[in-house]
Amino acid sequence: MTASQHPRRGGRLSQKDATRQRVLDAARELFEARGYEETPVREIARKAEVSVGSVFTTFASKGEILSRVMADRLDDLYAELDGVVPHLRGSTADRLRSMFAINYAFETQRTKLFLAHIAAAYDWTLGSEARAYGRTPRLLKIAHDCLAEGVTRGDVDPAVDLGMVVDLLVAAYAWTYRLAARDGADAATMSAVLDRQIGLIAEGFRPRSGPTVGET
Amino acid sequence: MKHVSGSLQADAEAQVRVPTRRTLAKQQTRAKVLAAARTLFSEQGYEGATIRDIAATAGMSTGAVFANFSDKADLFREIMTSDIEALAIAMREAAAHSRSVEEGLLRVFTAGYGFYKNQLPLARAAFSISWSPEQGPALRSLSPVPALTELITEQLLIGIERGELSADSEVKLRSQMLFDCYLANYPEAVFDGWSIEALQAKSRDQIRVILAGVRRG
Repeated sequence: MTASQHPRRGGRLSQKDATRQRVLDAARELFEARGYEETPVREIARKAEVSVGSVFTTFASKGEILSRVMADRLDDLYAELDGVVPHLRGSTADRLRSMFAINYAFETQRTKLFLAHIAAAYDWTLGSEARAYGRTPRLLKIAHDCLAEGVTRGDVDPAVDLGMVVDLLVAAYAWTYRLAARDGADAATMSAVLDRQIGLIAEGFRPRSGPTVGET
Repeated sequence: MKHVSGSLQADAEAQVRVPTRRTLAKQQTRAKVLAAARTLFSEQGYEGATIRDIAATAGMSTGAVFANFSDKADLFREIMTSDIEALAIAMREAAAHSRSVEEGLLRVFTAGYGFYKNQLPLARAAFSISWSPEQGPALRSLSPVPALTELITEQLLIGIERGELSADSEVKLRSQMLFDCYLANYPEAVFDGWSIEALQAKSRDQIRVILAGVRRG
């Protein structure tokens, strides 16, 4: 029952959109300046110059606001990846390594916020919109395209279920965040661990017989 | 003086007996609170369940709850600790007498999904809290947590011993990946309501990919 599914005429819709945007802008600034836990919804409403009530008619919870803010941030990242990925060199494993390393480097600019985002993705009160953590369709597609390209180049077995491999890659990418949560690991540390994991996954998707091709 | 020593002796006996009865009552109270908390966490989620509601469900005052648990996070950790212990036992029993590494691992995974099948809201709350900056570290460092990855490691070591996997299998890294893969499939169970069979089929394919490089023969 979102506004976009049931467009109404003029004024009301655009006012709702305007409120939504003001809340998101205010929330992004406050989350980045102070942190997610430290920012009460009351503050977001004050900065956006709307009532607390209208924040909650637009968003179900603070977690949903965070999910939206992060989704917008990640859109910038995916736009960047769309431009970079076609130019990556090396084997499919290497191209996947580079692609995920770019993700880590981008996300760890705001590690705390990103971890809060991961936590919120499992929040009881959120709808399916909040499933953004590691599962955004655009990230899945970028990884999938990388593998499909590998099939064309000959270093990915055409018989392998690419969707399943994407899930494995994303599982490794997402759960390696435990290093950031637990030890405060940086992007380079996480990338080093993920590089080894991608190597093992690549053993599972390379063509069954003959030497590995496409390494040049 | 006889009289005094007799009374002292009675006191000593009372000190032994009374605390026992008290301890028993305290255990019963704790069990009641934990059962109520489990119900409410499952129905309302972690944030939605209040200490007041938990106390009301348990049929006692909030004061009585706080006499036994320091806060809601403490209650949740207590529930998680006993659950993870039970889960590790269920996984170990499931894996016993497997004929192959793949079968053993799949049984470990399936035991896990089956364990939480009827309490997915609790699993969802556990995932959410494990990533939260305040409570995550305490939840992740609960004593029975490492037992879960160790179980997976054991399956790999059995596979090496049987000659199914090569000795140089990077057991530590592969165990972690298998465990992550097990965890990463929960959103399908939690949000999308996949059947155990569907989760199992997906897990089997994933296990095959992760082990592909070290299979012998």
